[in-house]
Amino acid sequence: MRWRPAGEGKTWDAGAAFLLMAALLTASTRLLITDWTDHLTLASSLALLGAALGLALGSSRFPSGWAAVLALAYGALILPWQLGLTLEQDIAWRERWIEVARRLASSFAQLVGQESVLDPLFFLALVGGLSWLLGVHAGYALARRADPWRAILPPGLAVLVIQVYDPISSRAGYLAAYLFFSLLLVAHTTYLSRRARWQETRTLVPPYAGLDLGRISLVVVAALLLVAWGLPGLARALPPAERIRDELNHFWEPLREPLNRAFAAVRGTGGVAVEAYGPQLALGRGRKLGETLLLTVQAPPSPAPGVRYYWRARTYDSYASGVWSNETALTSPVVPSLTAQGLHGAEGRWTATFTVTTAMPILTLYAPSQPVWVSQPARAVLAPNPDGTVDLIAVQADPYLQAGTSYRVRASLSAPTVAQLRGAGAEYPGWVIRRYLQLPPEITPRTLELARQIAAGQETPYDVAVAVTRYLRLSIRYRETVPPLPSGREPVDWFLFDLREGFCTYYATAEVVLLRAVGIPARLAAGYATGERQGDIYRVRQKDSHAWPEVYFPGIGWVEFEPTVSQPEIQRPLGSVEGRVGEGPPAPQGEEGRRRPLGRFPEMEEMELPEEEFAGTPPAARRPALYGALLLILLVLLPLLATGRVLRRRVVWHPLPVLVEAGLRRVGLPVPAPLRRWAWRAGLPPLLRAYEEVNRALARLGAPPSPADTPAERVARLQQLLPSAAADLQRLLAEYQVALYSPRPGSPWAALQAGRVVRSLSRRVRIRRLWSWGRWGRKSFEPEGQVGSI
Amino acid sequence: MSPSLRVVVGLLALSLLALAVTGGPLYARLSYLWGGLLVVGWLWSRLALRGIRVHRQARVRRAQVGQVFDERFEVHNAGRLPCAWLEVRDGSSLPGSRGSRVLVVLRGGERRSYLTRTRLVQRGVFSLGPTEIVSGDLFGLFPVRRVVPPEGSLVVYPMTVEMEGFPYPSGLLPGGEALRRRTQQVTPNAATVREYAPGDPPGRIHWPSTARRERLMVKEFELDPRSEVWLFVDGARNVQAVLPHPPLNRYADALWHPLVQVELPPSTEEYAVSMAASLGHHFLRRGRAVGMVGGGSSLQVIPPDRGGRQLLKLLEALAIFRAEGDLSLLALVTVQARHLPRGNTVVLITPTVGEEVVVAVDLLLRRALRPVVLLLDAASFGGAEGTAELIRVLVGMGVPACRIACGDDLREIPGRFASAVPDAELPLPTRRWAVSQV
Repeated sequence: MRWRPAGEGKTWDAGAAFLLMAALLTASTRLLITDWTDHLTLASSLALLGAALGLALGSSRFPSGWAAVLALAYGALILPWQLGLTLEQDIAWRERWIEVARRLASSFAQLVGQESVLDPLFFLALVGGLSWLLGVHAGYALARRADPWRAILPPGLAVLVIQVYDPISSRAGYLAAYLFFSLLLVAHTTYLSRRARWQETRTLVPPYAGLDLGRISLVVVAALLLVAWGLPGLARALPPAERIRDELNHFWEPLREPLNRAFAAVRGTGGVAVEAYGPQLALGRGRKLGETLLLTVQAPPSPAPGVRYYWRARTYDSYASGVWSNETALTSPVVPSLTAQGLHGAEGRWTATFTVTTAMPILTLYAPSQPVWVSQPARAVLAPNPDGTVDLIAVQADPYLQAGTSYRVRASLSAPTVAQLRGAGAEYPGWVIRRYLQLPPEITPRTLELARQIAAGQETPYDVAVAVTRYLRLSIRYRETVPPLPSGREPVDWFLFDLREGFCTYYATAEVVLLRAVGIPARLAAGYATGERQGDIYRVRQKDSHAWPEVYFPGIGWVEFEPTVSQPEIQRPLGSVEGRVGEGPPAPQGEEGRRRPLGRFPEMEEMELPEEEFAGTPPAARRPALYGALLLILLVLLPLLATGRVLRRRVVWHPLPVLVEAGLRRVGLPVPAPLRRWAWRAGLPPLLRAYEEVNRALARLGAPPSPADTPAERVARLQQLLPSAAADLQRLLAEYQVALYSPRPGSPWAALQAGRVVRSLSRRVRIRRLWSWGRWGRKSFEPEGQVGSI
Repeated sequence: MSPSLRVVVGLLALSLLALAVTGGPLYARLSYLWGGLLVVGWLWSRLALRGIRVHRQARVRRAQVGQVFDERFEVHNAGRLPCAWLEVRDGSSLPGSRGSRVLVVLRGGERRSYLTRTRLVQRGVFSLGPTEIVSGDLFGLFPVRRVVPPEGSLVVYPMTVEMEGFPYPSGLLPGGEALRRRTQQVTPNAATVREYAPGDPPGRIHWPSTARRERLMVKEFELDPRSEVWLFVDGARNVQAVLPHPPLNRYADALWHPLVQVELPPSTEEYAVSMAASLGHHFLRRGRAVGMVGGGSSLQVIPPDRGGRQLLKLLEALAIFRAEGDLSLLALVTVQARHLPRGNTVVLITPTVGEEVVVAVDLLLRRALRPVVLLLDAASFGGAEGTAELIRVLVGMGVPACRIACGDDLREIPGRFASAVPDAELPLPTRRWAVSQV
């Protein structure tokens, strides 16, 4: 092992340490806001303590091996202490440590035995240990290697992994903040290494070069991040990349299960997008979907005949250029007393209650068809209708739901008979016609012609819808992915006439467009298909992601159709024309309110919560108060830094006598003369303080200097009186002159040393003189040599 | 490729790969960031030095050790874009040169200049450059540099000290007769007048003769009957000695003093050069003609002459003198002594220890020359012993000799001669010696 040479310079400063700490704090706060478990603040503490220790070890002379041993030893002390803090406070520390050890051993045994580890302390210990190691490594790399990349890359990777497993897009800002501090650290460390070289080569550097370059770095990094975060996303990957992605997913699958077991106690370890269906839905190119479990739904024992469960997330009414969206979508913090316009007096519908358990953190609440009540506080995304009613587009939990959370939803499902649908007629309300017959102008004539051909000879809108569905199921082949859309082509036209294959979104879009082309209102719904049924339980996986068309029937409402050939066809009971109103399929046992007139949904009013509760910050966002405080400090400091008002002023740490003097003056007490002189001397810069010893020595030896005397004359005079201090006096004078007249700063240390010698010798001579006065009564002063000879 | 650049390129590649595989917008942002960093850094570096001009000016191109050399650097950003930081590296070989500076935020069209002051501590010829300008982006990705070639050179003369009282023969040639040798110098001995020729200086016009003959007449001079002084500097490589020493004086940059007595490096070469320069200055100031023979890396022979111009010639020759020759002192004397007029004074400056010094002195004596020996004590410079014995032999021969050790004050040399051999007792070569030599 090689000890680090003592002479090696310092490769970091307070600014670098601050930026490193800020970056680490950002990374640990990113973990904290996931709210994966309680007590995640320990990651911040350990990361910061580790970084401080890493900086100290990096600056020390310890060889790297010894430094690693010391870091591990400190970690072995600090980690149990931090874990102990997570236990109840009234337990003795010895008991806490025993408890921690016992629980960790138990968790480890569970892991080895391939059981799920249900104790969150295991996850905390892993996270704490990792935070400690990352902090120590970052500090050590910065202080010993002067390598900022080594310091920031491992924590940056950790932030990225957290972002992948907690993929709420708004939280990507923490990654941006981390990159902000990291890039500033890189720029600052680059400047420090340059400055060290400049000092070696005696290159004169302006006093505020670091500050000026720091301000420029601040602006450049902020601009880069703003641009990078503000630019629109790149196009989807090319087909070869899809294959790589699928292979990677396939490779990842075997590892997922053990990890899930290890972190079973952690809330929300999944990696699914919480908003799989956002405000816009592009037709896209499709991708292979995995087996990841998303939802488990407990449904009534037996559904009504003709009812197909679709776990709907969102509906879309406007289509243009291959993208679905909503013409109007307002978010209401309080769910209104919904009057589902389409359900006024609706018949042929069936109401049931479902219990949904999420396997991932979710924001959008999934419900079969039209939800009328949910057990969770939620926000409604809705489109108001001209008659004062609203169309419910989606329901979102507020706050979002953790993985493993269950909620109940009561929904109204369409269960009409064929006869009811045929007899529904075509007298659509005005708002339905305005909103759900919209077609973009780029729809090609041959698409419209195809719609007319299919609809030809059909008697009712239902017959047209069935004909279109059948046409699509028979003519179009299912395929999970499609090639890129040729330039200048309209997607539906390309799908129907050239490609003739595709996935559910294309099927549903084509059906909606064809129906609208012949004047039948339709919309697109997105969510998940029925999933895997096990008795009354439906397991919905990622691969069940689906889109389907919904057609409006007066007096019945929105009814699902299934044109995608990979999904089974919907079989509806035929019924009879007479039974159109008030009759329907036989009611399933044990269900309440089946086929009741819907109208208003009083249950929805139960969702209403006090306004302030909705307006408040979600608990997960309230946690990182520390980060908020840091941001506040930065917001205050950074503008000041940018204008250079703080650092351009030299920060003066007043010595004790100065503070005492100031305190006495503040309270109005007289300041004693010795204290005043002491405070004055203490406030001088070191070189001046050293030089002041010359003046004091002259006064002490009875030859106070004249104000007109130059430093050289004063020293020469003192040298006559104090020959034994000649060498020190010359050294002091030289340093003083160097500092005063040359571009070099001089050596305060050498000057202070010399000043101390001068003070000591002059005092000794003074005492000898006093002694000789007392003995001989002499009054004249003589130089030191003569005094000694008396 | 700098380490930071490697890291950023690697991060960009990983981000693009992740983007291609997952299509996630986060990786798109990261790709933008790393790509943007590379693009901005590259553009920044490329444009940083585009309009930068550096010019350095010196008021003098000749100075002496101990003096302060002033040089002015002017940096002009002729471009429109600002330069965030700029390092001016002074590549001059001048020891202690302080021309290196860092300039921050140099705006477009802005000019900045600064003055550097350098205490000259070493003789020689030093190039004023090259000047290197360095800049780059803030993250150390693309460092850029450009070299500006040197703009002239500086000749630093060796240090001289006062040699008041240095012994030399009384000044007249044997017999005191005129030499009858014409010279271009103005001497106290005007020999005749002649008709003016184009190129003759106006100061030599003899106006009474001009008036009498009614045409311009100029004076012609003869050599001063006083003897010339020859300085023989021993530059043989194998007899030199030097002690390890720090490169610069601790307080050499105390620039508020116009001239400081710079400590000589503990090298026989530097002591010899400084003594030769001091003696040249000493004799020339007294109106004597001084010549020099230097046996350094190349044989240097400067014919004797008087005046300030001759001093500059001597100092320039000594400024570039390097004791790296193969010619021993005896060989030097043997080659050159035959060309020296009788009665001239020859000052031998040598660290040689051995009989060849005695033989050389004997040769000079036999040619009716008057040798004076300045013997550098090689042992005190880390070289061979034997200087003291040699001094005794030389003094025994009646030759003025002085021993100079490392660290001695050169100003004390004349005093040592006075105490060793009184000037009055200096032997004059006899006619027999001179005749026999002839």
